[in-house]
Amino acid sequence: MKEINLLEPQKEKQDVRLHIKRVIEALLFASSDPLSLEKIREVVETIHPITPRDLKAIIQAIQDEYYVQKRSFKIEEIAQGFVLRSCEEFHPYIEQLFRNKRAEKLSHAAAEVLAIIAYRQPITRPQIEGIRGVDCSGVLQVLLDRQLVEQVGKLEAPGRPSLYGTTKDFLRHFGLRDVRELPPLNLEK
Amino acid sequence: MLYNMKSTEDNILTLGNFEGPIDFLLHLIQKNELDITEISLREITAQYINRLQEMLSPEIDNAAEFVGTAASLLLMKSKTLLPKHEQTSEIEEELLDPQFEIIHKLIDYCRFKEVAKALKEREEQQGVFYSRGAAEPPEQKKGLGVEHLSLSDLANLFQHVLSKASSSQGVIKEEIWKVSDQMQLIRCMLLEISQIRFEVLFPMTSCREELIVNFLAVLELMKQGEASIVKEIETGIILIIQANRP
Repeated sequence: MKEINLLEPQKEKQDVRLHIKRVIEALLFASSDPLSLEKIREVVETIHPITPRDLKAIIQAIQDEYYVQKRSFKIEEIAQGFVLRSCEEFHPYIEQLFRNKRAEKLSHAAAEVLAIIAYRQPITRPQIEGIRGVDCSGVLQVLLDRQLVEQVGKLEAPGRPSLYGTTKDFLRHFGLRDVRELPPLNLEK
Repeated sequence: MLYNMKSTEDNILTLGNFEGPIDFLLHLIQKNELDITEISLREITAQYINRLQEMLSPEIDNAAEFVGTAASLLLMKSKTLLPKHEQTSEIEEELLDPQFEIIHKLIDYCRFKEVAKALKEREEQQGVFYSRGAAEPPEQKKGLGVEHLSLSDLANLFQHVLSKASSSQGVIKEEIWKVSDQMQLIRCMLLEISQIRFEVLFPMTSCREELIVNFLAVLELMKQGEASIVKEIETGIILIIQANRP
């Protein structure tokens, strides 16, 4: 780690700060999955110690710069991490890159089972079926295959049924920071 | 006020279109634009049963569940008819009675249906954002194009083979089949040719004893994590393959 030159403390500080910014940008660029603050910090600390608060401030600064510079992407906080995502106005263009390759949208049944798991996790399959009134093993398998839900444990009860919960990919798919960001369940009729 | 099934609602004509009795009940309630907490039990029960009778056919998968729900409704209805309390307000209170599981189920299900819609909308909205590497859709875990057979699949399969075999039984053989011998045999086969077709191990020409012992051998190997049975998705061919110990 470089010693800060006492004669020009400000410049040194600026250089380090710029370097850190570029490193963060490089990390975000290289990763297709959201990076947690901690993970970014781990890497940045190999350059210079930094507090989580300061790191967050720098990330925010980069975000602001992108906005001012009218970049076509931005940094977002999703799935408990930071990730680069394109701005929505470019959707019609990017879409042309892969017409048929996009993952299929969820079926209604899948969305319902997913909703039940998201709000009631951890939950077993019989419990899910108790709410829906129908067998949901097929739908559950689809959600497992798409890695939107996963087994998170087993219930201490006869048969030790599997408990299911949502995954990080679920958060990503729906652009959520974490499950607490889900809208509240309410009965409006 | 009979519920006219041939109404303008042409999208739902059979019970098969419903996810289950709860969904169906929900549909009826919504059609009447009733608040779920103020369902006219009598009305709904009548409609439910009428509709059920008109549409019930032997092919309906969840027929039993539908009928079960009808029974619950009738039970609730009969309770409200008992001259225990005063009318109106008491009945409404009874409808919200925790004992009336079905109301709670309905309310719960209703909420989740709403939220599921919201989730789907959100999915739609999120579709305009792309992150790095979005061009490759998430890898669906399809594996090698094989799917593992469940125990019931296996049982059915074996049942089928066994039934065919017994009819070809002719001479009573003096051979004694041992499971451990067959296990060793299968192990050696797998070492040489990593996957064995089901028909090879369970040919129709074998006698029952041979089939049973072979099946037990395969099951034992599966239990020990040495083998597993899979089905090729495209061809439907069933194979016994070497498995890695977990």
